[in-house]
Amino acid sequence: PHVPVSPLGPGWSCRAVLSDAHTRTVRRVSWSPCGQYLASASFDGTTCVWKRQQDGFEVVATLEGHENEVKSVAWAPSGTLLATCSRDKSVWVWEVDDEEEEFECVSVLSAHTQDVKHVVWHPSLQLLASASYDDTVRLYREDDDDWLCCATLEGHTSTVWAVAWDSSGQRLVSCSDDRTLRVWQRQDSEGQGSGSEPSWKCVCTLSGYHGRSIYDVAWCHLTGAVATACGDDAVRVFEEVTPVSPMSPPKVHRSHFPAAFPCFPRLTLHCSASVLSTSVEAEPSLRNSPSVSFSRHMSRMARAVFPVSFRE
Amino acid sequence: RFHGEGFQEGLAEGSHAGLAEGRRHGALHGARVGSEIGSYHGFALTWHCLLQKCTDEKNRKKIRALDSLIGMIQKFPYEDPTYDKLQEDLEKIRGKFKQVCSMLNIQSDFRIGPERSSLTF
Repeated sequence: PHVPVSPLGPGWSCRAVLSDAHTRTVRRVSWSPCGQYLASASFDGTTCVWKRQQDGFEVVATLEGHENEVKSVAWAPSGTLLATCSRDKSVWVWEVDDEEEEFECVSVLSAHTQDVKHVVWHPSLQLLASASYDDTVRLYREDDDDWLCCATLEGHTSTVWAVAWDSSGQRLVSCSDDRTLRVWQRQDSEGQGSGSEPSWKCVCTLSGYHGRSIYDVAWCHLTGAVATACGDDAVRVFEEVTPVSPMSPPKVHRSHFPAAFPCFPRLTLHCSASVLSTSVEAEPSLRNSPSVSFSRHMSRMARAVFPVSFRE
Repeated sequence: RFHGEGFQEGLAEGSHAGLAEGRRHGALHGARVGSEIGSYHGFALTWHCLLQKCTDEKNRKKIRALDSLIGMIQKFPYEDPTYDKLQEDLEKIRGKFKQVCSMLNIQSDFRIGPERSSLTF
């Protein structure tokens, strides 16, 4: 099949078009940690797992079971687990049998009461987070032979579109239709027995920065910066500022001075878009002006900024 | 005076009718839940019998899952409709049933075809 080559010279070339597996919109894709497999979640209710071959990709498994549109798929960092979520309100956890390349459903979790939009794995533990139309974020972990919902993070007043973990896995950030970002911190159970569940508390709410729904959020594991994709046509970058003001008293309880996330982007994001594809690559620019700028081409193209991710 | 009497009679009649309707509704709902769980129970017991003979690792996993489903069904409090975790446990049973179907490569009955729904993200 004819694969178009970019006339712009060295850059990106389309290596494969995988068009026969899904019968409806492909909503999300996720690479396996080893890079050999690609999972694709589709509105047709299935999730396909593709294996890299010499001359392209081949379907090695089709995960069925969701009753309607699959909204998200995510590989666990261990490479042995896959999670999917759907409009059918459930989150499914699948285990991969390494050698046989077989996938087995190990749990069907119906903790949410509405459409589940996004699932993301913890960076190092086998802990899963999901975001839903029911305004909550839920966390799941393995227990015995099964999985259970171990925490429900309430606070948002509308659909939670996405969630991202920080590099330590001690915090996660959620973005919502309610135009706010919330940062949640793991609370170690003090004075409780070793068998108790850690709880999560919302330690920061960023409101007033976004003009419309926030559709995606990404937390850079290298720099700690948080980027958001918003329906008001802008990309925003937030960085944590720890108060070092000489006015503040030396001994302060953490609860009185939570870490602040002012919107002073240290980086200017220059968005460049290639002519052939509609993907956008943003690179930190060398200039240091305190505003987000877009190239004229980009602002004509973008109506809303959709997924956002950092190059690792 | 007649107003008051009329009211009392109406209230009594209404309560009586309400009670009857409530009982009907409860019986119907209870029967639905009972028949749903009953069908999962029969399904699980049958497959458990069918897989008894096979002892390889893959089937052991399936049998473990079936045992888990049967256990959840047996623990379900049929006698107590006021059990506060009734809905939760029912969802867990449904989820376990779907997982078992997936392992056995069977389509669970409530499958809706790929209908054209409105655009969602």
